[in-house]
Amino acid sequence: MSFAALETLPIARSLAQIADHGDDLAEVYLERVEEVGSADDRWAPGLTVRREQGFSVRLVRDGKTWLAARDGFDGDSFGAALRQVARALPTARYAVPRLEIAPDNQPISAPEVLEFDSLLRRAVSQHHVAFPMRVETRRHRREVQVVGTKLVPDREEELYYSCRVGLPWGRYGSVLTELSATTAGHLATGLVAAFRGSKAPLVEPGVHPVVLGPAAAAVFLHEAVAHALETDTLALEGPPEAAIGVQLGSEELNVLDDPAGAPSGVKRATDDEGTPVIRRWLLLSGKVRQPIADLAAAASSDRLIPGAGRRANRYLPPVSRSSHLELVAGPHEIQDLLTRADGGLYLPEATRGSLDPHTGEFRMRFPYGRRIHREKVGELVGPLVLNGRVAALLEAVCGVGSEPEIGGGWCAKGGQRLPVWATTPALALAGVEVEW
Amino acid sequence: MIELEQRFAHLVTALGQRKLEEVELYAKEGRSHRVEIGPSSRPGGLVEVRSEEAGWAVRASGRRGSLFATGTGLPDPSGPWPESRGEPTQLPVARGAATEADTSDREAPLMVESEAIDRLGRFEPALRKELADARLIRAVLDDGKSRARLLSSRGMDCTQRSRAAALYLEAVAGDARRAVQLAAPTAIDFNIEGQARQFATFLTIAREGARGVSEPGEMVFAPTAVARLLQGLLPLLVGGDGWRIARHLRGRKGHIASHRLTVVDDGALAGGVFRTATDGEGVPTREVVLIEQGEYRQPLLSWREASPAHGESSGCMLRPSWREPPQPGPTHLYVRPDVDVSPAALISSVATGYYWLDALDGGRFDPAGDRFELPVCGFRLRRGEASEPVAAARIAGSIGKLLRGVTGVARDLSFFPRGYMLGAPTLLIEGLELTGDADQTPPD
Repeated sequence: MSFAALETLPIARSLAQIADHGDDLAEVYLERVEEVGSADDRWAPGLTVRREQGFSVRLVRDGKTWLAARDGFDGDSFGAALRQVARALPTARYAVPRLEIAPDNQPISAPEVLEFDSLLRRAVSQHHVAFPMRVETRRHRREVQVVGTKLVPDREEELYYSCRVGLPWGRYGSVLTELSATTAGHLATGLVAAFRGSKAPLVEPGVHPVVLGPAAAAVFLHEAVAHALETDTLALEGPPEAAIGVQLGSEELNVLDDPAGAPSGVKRATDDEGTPVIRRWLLLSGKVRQPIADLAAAASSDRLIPGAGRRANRYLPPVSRSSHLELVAGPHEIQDLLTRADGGLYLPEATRGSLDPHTGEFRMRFPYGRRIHREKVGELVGPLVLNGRVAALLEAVCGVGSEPEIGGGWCAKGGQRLPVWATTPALALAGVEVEW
Repeated sequence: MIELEQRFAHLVTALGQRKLEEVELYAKEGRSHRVEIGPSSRPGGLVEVRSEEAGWAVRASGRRGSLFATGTGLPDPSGPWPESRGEPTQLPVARGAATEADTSDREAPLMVESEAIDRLGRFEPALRKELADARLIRAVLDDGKSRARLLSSRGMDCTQRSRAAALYLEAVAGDARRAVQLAAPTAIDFNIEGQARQFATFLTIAREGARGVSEPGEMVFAPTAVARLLQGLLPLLVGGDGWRIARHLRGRKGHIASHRLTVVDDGALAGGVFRTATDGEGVPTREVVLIEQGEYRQPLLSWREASPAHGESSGCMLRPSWREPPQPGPTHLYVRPDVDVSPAALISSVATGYYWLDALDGGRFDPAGDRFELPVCGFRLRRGEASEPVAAARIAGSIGKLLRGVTGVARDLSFFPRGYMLGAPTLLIEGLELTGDADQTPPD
């Protein structure tokens, strides 16, 4: 996969023809995607491969966006897309650049994907349990090149994996930076706990102190901090920059979005709009420092900094999204957090989280939990749900752990499915509403 | 298309040399036009996207395994191809030509930008006319059409044309929020003003309605709420496991449901958004009765699952995109309406009870364990009239009891998109219980 041979100057010249207003933003986004998967499904073939490539042309003017997307790369399609987004007929015919990029003819091989199924099954059996599973593993590769009228950043590449396990009591998914016996072991531990949790007694509804394990804390911060500070969410209630300086949560919370600090294989120097990424402080001592903004949002206020534009694919315009959240580690060892939440629940991992951007109502589902009894992690409880208003939950944070872990997951806000990453320690919350 | 046939011939030769004797090529081209607007208070929030897609999928199989590969443009017979692995995939044999119904309605041009903006722009003023402090959050109109051709080494050669439009609306009033996704054959089929009136009703209920009601009573379910019930019953209705679940749910007389209940799936449904003469493998689609007057006939089965003991097959292998292999599933799954009964007649027959307009989320359904729960909203009914809005209540109980408790079916069949179309008329159901409060699950 490579855009290395792409002639970007003629593309930039063509774009300049349609960006004829002073503040226009015009760009071409080119992508190549490869997904290699294996599923033990009776309908699925042994190995599935998807290789696709295409581009889109985008023009943003006065807050309005026009985008034209095409599959494949060729000059005629590019000219047609350019005409579709242009707002006025040109005085001269558009100069259509050659857009010839050699097809990706690399041999298809993914032994790590094929082996992961047996690694995972072996890891589960080491727990001396057995249950039916449908395992689907995929390797995702993506290459992105953005060409603007003035800047042509370096191309970006991503490589990561996903594993989805269908179980009789629900689905369980994970996004990973590598497939190995270690990752299979972690996944198996979660699956086995979820299996045992599905048969465990349910927790009594009410207000409980809780400790979120690093993986669950990542989901919590993704929903409660990242989504809450995305400019499209903030714009629902007023100018996004008005959030700057607001005390959103406990003073113990120091949260960043740092795409360049993401794990190897998914770290980025520029975003999907070609803007350099920044180490963006979202919360400093619980106070909002900087919302998550893309170019279109940042054009509306000089207090907003772009660099967080992300796209699920070429058919949709970019949106403001986090890439790699980081919760700055606190002073507390896990034992301190368990002491603070004694009599409550330890929730190691969440299956999903959701935020109503309008009401601030927040909900997180957990496949299982464990009681904290005499400051120790004790017996299993069944699936449960954590409810509350974002502001109240962030205010309830009473301890940040000292040992961060790296994890990944999918974000599906607004119909754009994106991989997201986080480096987070455990987190204690003083008292939150829990139900089953 | 001649080029496609030649390419397919080359594919068969190239893959045959790799001992893959069964080969299928699916090629699809499509165009779509999407227009999105935000609230009028945020001028300039227009997004217009025009997409043209062209992709292919190849399935190939031999004794040593199978493969599935997809890509943009057209496939290169020389590859690269992945290694074939796993179980062989058997492809269906062509059995005569399935004729496509009249597709003239699918050739009309896609909606232009100004027309789409005009239609979407009508929503917020109409909503505010009903509810002054309501405001639009997001409205998206998607209009698209596509043409696909399927060729296989088992003689399959069919063409599928499709045309569909989708509408997404999201609005708020105070702390109340509502979002809906609708589908129709074309963009002009949506009744924007009618949707605005429905939004006003739902937002008012969410703001002013009671919570945690638990008094018993008969329950009338509007089509939207019935569709959610039907969705929860999919494990019973689709796939070979349906028989096992049905055995658990049978009542004393051997019936699974009230004699008033008939459930059907029909891939070729006249006027259906996803109607097609053949499914994603080229097998002809048809009407299949799954529950007939309360009796469980069979689950929806693909040709691979069907047998004299398990039921007849139908073309039910879905291929919503060229990117994924075909999977079994419903196309237009619906409760057959009773043309002689109006929804008003069912509502007015209730002395004390409820009229549930919608579910607040998908609820929890465990057909194998014969239990379900569904959070709902609507009105309390007294002497056949709405007496008080109910913002949130939770229905819970036995699925068997739910199915056998249907005492009335109305004529107002409506369809809702869930990747496929779910159709439901208004139903009157007796014997269900409320367990108290239910809060809405916000969307992801």
